[in-house]
Amino acid sequence: MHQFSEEQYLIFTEQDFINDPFFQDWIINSTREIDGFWVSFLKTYPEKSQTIEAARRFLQNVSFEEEALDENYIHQHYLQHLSQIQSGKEQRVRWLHTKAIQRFISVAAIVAAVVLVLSIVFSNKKTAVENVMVSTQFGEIKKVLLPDGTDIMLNAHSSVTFSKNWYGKKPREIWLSGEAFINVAHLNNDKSAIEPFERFLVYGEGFTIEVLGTSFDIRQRRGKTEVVLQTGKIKLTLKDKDSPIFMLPGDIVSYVPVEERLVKSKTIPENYSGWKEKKLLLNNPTLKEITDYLEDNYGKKIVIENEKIKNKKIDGPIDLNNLDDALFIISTVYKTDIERRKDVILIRSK
Amino acid sequence: MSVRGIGNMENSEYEYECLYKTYFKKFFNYGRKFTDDIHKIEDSIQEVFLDIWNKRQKAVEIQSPNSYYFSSFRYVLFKKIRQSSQTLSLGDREDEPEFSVEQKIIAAEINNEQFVKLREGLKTLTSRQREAIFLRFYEGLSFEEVATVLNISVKATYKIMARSLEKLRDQLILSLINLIIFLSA
Repeated sequence: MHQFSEEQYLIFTEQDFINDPFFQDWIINSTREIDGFWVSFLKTYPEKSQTIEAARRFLQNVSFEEEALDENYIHQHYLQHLSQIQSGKEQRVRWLHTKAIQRFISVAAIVAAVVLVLSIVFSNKKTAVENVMVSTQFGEIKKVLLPDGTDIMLNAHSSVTFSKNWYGKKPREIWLSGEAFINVAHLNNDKSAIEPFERFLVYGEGFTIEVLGTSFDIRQRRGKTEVVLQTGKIKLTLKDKDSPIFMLPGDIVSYVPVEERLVKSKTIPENYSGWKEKKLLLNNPTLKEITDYLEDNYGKKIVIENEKIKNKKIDGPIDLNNLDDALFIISTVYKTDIERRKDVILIRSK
Repeated sequence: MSVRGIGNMENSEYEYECLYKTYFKKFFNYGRKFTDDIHKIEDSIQEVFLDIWNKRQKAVEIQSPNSYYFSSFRYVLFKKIRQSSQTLSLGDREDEPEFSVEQKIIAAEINNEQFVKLREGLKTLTSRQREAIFLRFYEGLSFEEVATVLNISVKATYKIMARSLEKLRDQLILSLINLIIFLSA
């Protein structure tokens, strides 16, 4: 667990000890193992005891003021929390109700349109009639609740299609375009014994995801697919690729079918689902990355006139609640003028 | 792990109550560094716990709960502080509420000179540096957890922590030198 050997610790100064995470753990949250290491180190090298004692005393004296709270005060809040849970349950039932009606109305309209189009295009596919499609406009985010309890947050300019009939012994399937955060409901808590019909499948352009009980974010934009897993486990199968990829929490897989470029690495999953709170959390994004995201989600073409600032990075999260605010931030942070034309937004250095 | 046994419902209820009460204290203390508005802190705690409760109901497994709880609380509280301050959100770090340290020191601590000096020293750090030190040394979070809460990389966390600790120690040495000069004068 610790990075340094006893020999290396021998030449440590007081400041080195203070900065060392493994040494800090001895003071903050020691375990028997950590304590054992340092006690035996001190025994073997008594000449270091003075340095270590000073470093230890220093860290112990780093302190913050603590507010003493009355147990009764905390208990009152706990009771309040319990009653909030209770009323939350009631609200949820009502919410499901209105959601179902809303869905019925939008479904009725969409089904009519879909039936018309699909009966012309795919006249051989009978199942089309039974499918439900929910889509979002630019700048819109929708929550979709599937019949099995799975919830989907659909990002702007995206759509999800699923069968109206989820009952019976067949796997749950959805078709997705754009970006969504999917939180899958378990049918079976015993993950080792999942029946074929208990599976959950997501189809996208050139890939299939088989869910093994999980929540994750899929982003298909600009010919590139990115899958980020937050919890659970999923099996990702790419078109033209024989062996599936198994993903674990924190994994990100990005795939560009045209270039056959496949990358699997680690990330902070929350950064990818920040859009659910309308909060874009990219790790030090460049201006180009921000404007790409705005284009994808608000449907306006954005042109950065000055090549040089395209790759300049912004530090920290940027609020994307609406396009105007985002542009205002860009103009302040990058010191640029913003010109809005009918379909194009121009960004240029002052 | 968030596997809930049906047989020992009472047990898991008790476990949940303990979780609530433990984090209530932690959140309250953490929140007080950013605001004096107790209502905002209380509301934020309830909001975060509704989310935690919902996740438990759905048996959603939270990876690294400690950092998840802290960053949720921080996010909710900051939102409330921003909303009421009416300032234009620049999405920038500069508009994050200030992490402040007060200098109240109780009598028993006065004799510990280093303790007092370090308290003073904390004031010379930036808000972010203070927060990082607080999360690591007061709440006992790991470097990875601190990174998640502050929404920065682990590498950047190492840097912030080292710089803050060095600054604190410099302050200490400086005050020691002053003392020697004072005594020898």
